[in-house]
Amino acid sequence: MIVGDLAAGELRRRLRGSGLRVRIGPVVAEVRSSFGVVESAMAMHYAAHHVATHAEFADFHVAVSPPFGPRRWIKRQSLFHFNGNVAFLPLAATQAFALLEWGLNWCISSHCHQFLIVHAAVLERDGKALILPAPPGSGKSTLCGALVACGWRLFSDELALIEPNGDRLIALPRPISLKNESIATIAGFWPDAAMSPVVHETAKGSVAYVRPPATSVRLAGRPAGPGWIVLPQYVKNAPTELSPLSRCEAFMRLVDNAFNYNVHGRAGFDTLADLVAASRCFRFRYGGDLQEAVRVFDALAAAP
Amino acid sequence: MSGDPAPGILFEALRDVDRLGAAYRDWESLIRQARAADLLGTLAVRLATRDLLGHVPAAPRAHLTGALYRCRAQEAAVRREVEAVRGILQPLHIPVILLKGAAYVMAELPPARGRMFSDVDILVPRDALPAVESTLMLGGYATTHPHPYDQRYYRRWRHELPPMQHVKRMTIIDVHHTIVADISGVHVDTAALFAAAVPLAAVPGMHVLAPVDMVLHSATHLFRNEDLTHGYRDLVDLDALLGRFGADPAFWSALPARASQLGLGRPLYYALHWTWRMFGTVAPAPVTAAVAAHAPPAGSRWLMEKLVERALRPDARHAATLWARRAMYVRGHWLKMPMPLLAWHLTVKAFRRDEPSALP
Amino acid sequence: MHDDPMWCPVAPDAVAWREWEGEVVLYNHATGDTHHLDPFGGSVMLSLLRHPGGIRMRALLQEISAGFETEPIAQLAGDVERVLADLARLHLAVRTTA
Repeated sequence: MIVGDLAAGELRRRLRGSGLRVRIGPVVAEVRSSFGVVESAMAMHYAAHHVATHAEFADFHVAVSPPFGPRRWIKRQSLFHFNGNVAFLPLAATQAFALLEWGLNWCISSHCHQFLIVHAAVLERDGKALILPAPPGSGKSTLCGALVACGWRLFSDELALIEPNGDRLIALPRPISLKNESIATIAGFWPDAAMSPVVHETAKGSVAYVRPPATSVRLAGRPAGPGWIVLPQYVKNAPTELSPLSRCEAFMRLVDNAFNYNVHGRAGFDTLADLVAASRCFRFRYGGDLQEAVRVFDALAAAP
Repeated sequence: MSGDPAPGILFEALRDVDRLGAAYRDWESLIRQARAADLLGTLAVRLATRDLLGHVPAAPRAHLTGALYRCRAQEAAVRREVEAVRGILQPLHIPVILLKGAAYVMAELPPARGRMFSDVDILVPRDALPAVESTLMLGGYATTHPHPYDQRYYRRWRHELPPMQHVKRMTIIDVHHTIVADISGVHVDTAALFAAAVPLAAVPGMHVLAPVDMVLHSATHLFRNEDLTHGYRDLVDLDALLGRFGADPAFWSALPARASQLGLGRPLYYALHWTWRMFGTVAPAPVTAAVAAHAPPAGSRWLMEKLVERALRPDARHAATLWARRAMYVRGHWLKMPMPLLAWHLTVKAFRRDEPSALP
Repeated sequence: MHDDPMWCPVAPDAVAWREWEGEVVLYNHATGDTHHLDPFGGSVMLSLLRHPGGIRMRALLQEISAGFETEPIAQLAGDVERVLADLARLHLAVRTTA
């Protein structure tokens, strides 16, 4: 059964009661929230995700709820709970879904040490992974949205999960987060995108989420092998340019963006090195022409 | 055992890890409780040692092996950090005693396996404190609490320097010059601790506390202020120490006298009483008899309730009561995780140290 | 021989490395650090790793010059010394008194 099969009342009942359990790729998250905005966002973005029963093992138990005390009513706030404990400082209640998504990112990147986890967008074509490691502001999320719009399978817009032996990448399809100008850009490029209402005045500006395509969610169990590692750089109005990237530099970029490289020690070095050795590595600069950008990546996928 | 209320799945699992075989069904609750009690690594190590990890279903097993990886990496990081501190302080030619987690790792004591220690704690002679502080600063450590109020708080009330953090490695060192016996602020005789300290062969210039002192310190730390934060976890460690040192009869015969000498009779009483109640650990009769003199006044049931409650705390069903507690702050920790990266998706700097426990 | 010092890799068993396009990435478990060395630095480091028991400067210079365009030995020596000093600072190499 998928979340979309639940009647509206049932979804609410679970979120406000014993928890809604969703399978997200390799993990099951149990989510609780009394916020209406979380309920509607879950209904939209996780519609295609499988519901797990309470008999199945849940990896993370999270909740987003109002605090007790005056901030429950006045200048309403939301708090993120993990395993029964508050984990972060509160956010405005309007940002409750964003808080949940950020909290889930934290859960996975802090605890899923069976993987080597890199801060990167990952997409798939023909069984091969396109990895876009990049710090915020590099345009990775916009690119990710555009590629997904044009048929690339979404693995994740934020977290590359790499299996230490064999270098397979594991999919973790979740809503794509867009910020500021990127929101309008993707709305224009991908008119059919299911996008939740924009939330303003977060510390990162305006944030909106795009629902992952149902096929990406349905195929989440299918891993990908190494394909391409591309460092994107957005420079307004610059011409689109794909240029070779040295493997050493690609490697160091993955290390710099890895959450748990040191947890894996030498095995972490070998895992990333094997991944880099088996991938084609590029630098990609683009200036906002998403059609052109997608053409470049499609050409990469088509090349022998 | 006495008629204590059933304290929960974690408690039972750690008491008898062999029952966690292929037929075990409560993995989800167990993992949650273990994580909440900071004992996931310990549980994983015990399962691994008994060759039981292979029987654990894949989904919970991922959490256990993940914890094992983290602990192993953390232990390597502790060793490197201790070596770095040794090198920095070596020119001062003063004795340095490693405390707590760093001591367990370097002395290869049982609590080290599976635990994640986040700081290096050292004990130095009080008059060497200024030199130690300035030497550490030259070695790249900076104070984490620049505010004068915090400085006073640490120096005056906690009898230690405010934690110092290495600017590059982001690792934290806590420098103590005394061990406080209890909430009244009575100091333990530090010179006596140094006199009995055991040198570490692998780390010239560094020592660990003598076994009796290490147990007494652990007990003091656990029961100080009767606060019992992480009480269950610390009790597990203490029990492991008793198990290791207790094989030597000389340890037991020295223990009560040393406790009296250092004024730590009450913590020792609690330590023996609670390791017996929770784990069935039995001290030799003469020891328990000698220590009985330090028992608290009758009617301290509140302590039992609190301890049992802490042991039960990991149970998710009690989450509703957590609003009354302070928020848990995720402590910046040991591994060279890119902290700016971890914070990337958070709106404010959300990772903070644990708040200091109740002010005296 | 005071002008032919011996250099050793610090913990050869603790080191893992890969070489791509002449550059080297290297992990040192003894420090937990990961390094990216350019072709010259990489070549010096790999020479050291080929001689875990230590290699004298003259022999090292010969190995290095075999891999690069010949330059005046004095200049090469200076460059190699600078790299060795960097590697020492990174706890990858150590000059022994042997």
